[in-house]
Amino acid sequence: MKNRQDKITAEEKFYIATQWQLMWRKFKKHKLAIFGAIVLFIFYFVAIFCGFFSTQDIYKRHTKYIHAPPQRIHFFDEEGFHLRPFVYGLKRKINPVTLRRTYSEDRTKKYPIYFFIRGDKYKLWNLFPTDLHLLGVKEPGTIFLFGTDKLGRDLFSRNLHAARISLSIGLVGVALSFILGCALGGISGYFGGTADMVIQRVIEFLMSIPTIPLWMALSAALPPHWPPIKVYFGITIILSIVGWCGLARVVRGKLLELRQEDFVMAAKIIGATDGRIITRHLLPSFLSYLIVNITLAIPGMILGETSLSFLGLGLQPPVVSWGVLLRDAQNVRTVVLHPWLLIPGLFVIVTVLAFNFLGDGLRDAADPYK
Amino acid sequence: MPKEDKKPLLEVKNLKKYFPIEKGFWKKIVGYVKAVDGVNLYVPEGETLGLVGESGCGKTTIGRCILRAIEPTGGEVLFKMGDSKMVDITRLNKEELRSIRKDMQLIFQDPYSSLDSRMTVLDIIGEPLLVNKIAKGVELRNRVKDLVKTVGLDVRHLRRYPHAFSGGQRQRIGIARALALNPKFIVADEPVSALDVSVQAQTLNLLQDLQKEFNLTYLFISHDLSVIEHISDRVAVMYVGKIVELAETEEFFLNPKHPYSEALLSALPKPDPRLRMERIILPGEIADPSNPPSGCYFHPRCKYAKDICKNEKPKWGEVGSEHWVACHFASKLTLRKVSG
Amino acid sequence: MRSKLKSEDDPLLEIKDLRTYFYLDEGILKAVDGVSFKIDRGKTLGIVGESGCGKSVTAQSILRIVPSPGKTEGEILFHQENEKNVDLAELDPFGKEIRNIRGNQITMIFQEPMTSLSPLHTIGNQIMETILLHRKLNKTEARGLAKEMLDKVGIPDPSHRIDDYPHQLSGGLRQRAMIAMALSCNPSLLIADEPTTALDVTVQAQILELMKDLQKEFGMSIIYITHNLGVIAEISDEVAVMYLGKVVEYGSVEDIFHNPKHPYTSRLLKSIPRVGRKVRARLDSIKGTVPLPLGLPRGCTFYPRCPQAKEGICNIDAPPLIELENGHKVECVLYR
Repeated sequence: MKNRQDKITAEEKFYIATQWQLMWRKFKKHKLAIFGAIVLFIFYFVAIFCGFFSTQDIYKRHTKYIHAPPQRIHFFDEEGFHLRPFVYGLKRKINPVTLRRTYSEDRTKKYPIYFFIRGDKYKLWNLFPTDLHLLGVKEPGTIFLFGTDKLGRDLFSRNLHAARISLSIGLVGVALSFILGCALGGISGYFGGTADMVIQRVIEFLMSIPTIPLWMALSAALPPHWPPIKVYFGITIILSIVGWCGLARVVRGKLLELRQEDFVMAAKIIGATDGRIITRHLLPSFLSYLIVNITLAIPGMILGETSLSFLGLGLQPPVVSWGVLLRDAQNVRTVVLHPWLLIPGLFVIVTVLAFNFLGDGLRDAADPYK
Repeated sequence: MPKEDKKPLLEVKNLKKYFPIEKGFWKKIVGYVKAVDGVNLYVPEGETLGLVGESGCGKTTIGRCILRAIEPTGGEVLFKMGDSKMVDITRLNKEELRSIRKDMQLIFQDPYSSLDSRMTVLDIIGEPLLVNKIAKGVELRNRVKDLVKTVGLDVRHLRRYPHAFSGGQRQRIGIARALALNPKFIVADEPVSALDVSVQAQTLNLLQDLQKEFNLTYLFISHDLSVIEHISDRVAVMYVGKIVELAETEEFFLNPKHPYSEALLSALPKPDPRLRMERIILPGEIADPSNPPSGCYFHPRCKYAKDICKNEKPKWGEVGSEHWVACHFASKLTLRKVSG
Repeated sequence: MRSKLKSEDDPLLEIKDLRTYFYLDEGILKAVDGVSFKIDRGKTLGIVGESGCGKSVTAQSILRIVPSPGKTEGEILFHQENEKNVDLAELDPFGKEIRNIRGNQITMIFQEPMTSLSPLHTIGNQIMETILLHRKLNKTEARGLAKEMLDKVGIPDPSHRIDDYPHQLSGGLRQRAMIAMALSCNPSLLIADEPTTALDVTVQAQILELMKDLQKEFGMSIIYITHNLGVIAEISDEVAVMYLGKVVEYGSVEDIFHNPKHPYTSRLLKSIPRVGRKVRARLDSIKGTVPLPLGLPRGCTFYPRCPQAKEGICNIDAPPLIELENGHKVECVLYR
């Protein structure tokens, strides 16, 4: 009997579940999407606290360690297992003929890794000065988990800082596209007529321009003396100029579809105002679709920024983004000799994939009533 | 048109709705779909007018034009406001329209798309009360509870969302919403067509009970003649944007005057194997309302058609007591009535 | 052409204890749950029922086109002419044998022809494709036959219409084209799943008339599936009334409509409005709604809605199958 009671309440729970609860139920079944969400959560979390997670200052140059390879973390040495991980020091050799530097592990120097260690000073979110890092080694040891670049700067820390820029540019860019797309798509879909016609033609025109040359032309137009923060917003605006078109189309299409639904006419007949129809009926109905499309638009933005910066037209050093970091890997020789310079590319791939997985799961969950 | 003793609640005169056909890049108008083309009808207070016709004949468009859910192209829709004054709905401005819509409501065919699946039953049925500032809070809740009881649903389910209900129950929610503002007139647009056979009867009974209880007047739109006969006091038959026959129900079924009505009655499959008979099989299909035939729109399918039918549009005329037909030979033909 | 001689007991298809279950996350959906019936050569069996009663899944089970995650069990004995009988339920649903039968000896037409006709090919090509697949004819002969079939189903001007795309035809003509395609291989069984539901009454009358005429000419058996009792009365010889995956009553059309035994059948017949009844009284409705066939309680599935239900009997045991006279069968304890 008790069992039966439980069953009824479970059913009732389903019946009084809101749209979002039903979507969550459906979303949970999509394992890949959950995986993508977790990956993205970790990435964004690390990016937000990148100062804390990085091991040192990103501009600090270790002139003795130019193009040093990643140092491996060890638990074992000749004495056996150590609970505290450590890295070996690096021994540099210069080939007298080619002048090429090669590094090898110096087994005589052992630098244990400490957690919550005081190290280089930084400002958390540019506000709170602190010097706490998640991990690091004591002076005079070095720890280059992803190696160093041609100026001897730690690439692990630079990658984390780059993540902050690259990941946030996607969000800011999409937020801008979202506002533009909703406003113009909404006008187009709800009012129709000439406005619709003009907006549609503009969208078609914008979408027909090859994106890379357009971006190039626009970013070339950015004044070179702008401070990095202005360039950052300049780039996001450039990216959203093309980005909003897709969203506007989604909004318009969905509105046109929903306007035909009987419940919208029902609301009209009972005397609901246009404002109420839009906010209470139309918006909640296509909000979930918007979220899906936004999720799928973010990787485009990230890729856009990466390509622009890679080509030298986006963000400029000293700002670091994945695209800026990848500029160091522009020729085959460096790639062959210093493959760790490609690590930012790996991050881009994983991020884009994770967003696509997430978007895929959201799309399946977007209409829980089917 | 109507007799003096029967006060119409609604009178429609020469109603027209043309949808433009647009073509090409500049959306040039190349023609019109005459969905409703000069319709006259009236509904006495407390009665049900059954509007029957096949798909694309414009019956749904009439219902929506009367409520001005879509804008009619021309004609008058006179509706009795208060005690006696007839108001032309087509001339009202937005504010006046909002106030008169409390008196006229619509029940939809599709119980799925007509309810916002993101709102609870309480919100759906309470919305009319809320937007017209009639009730809110606890009072709203109580009014909704009463309505829910009236249509035979369980008051414990107010917090549920529409997806928890079957088609028939959803249709009841739609009916409760239509009743919330205490309307006098309801357009029921195929309210039972999407429902299971065993649920149709419940819904028809409910509509009849509500009519008695609240003295409602219905415009009942359906393609199913048996449902129409069951619920209507009068029947109007529509063909390609025009009403071809209008009569009291019994008169219509025993004495149909238009050849199309005869064919409709004959084509209806009857749930009795002993009534299998030679049907009148109409050749061809419904005419295209964007390019209707000349003269009487029905003449290409009509077995009684003569030359005059090809050339002249038949006049809308009274052939008996409150029996109106648009046919050149209405008074001369002897047509088959319904059997059963 | 097939011989039109019919003996009294000449079954074409015998279905025994057919079960099609869908294994879903929410539980087992018993779409068809122990259905048995047979259909004689040249006769029409009407299957009537409301949404979710399993009438369409029954048809899909016969053709072995049940979508996954559905599984079919039971016996579907198909008595082929001049060949040995096959149990369709035993065949591999993707195998050669069933493909030889499907679209050739057993064909199907649907409610919405637009979804089963390809919009990219002319109707002529689609009919020819079926013919070429199953009959040993060359292209010219196949085209000739396709034209002949279009003419037989009453499509005006077939030599011109044969090159039309489905969207160029009206709903009624599309359904006619579907029928032409279904009959082009001279099948012994035609399954019609709500073929006239989307059509207007006057067009529905045309199609019903056409199907009756074609049955006389080709001698095929028809399984006609619909929720419309009027259409069932019009076209069937035998009727199976289905409710929640079970055939609750089976009998001749005369018995079903004039001597209904199962409370569901009789109440259903009383609940529909009829033309010419003249009295505008309340309809005798059946209380409640059709539940989902998922996690159903024990006993008779109609028990919660049945006015003649006996507590302690109907809600405990599954109702027995009772055989009355003339092959009239009913699943109800009232006739024990």
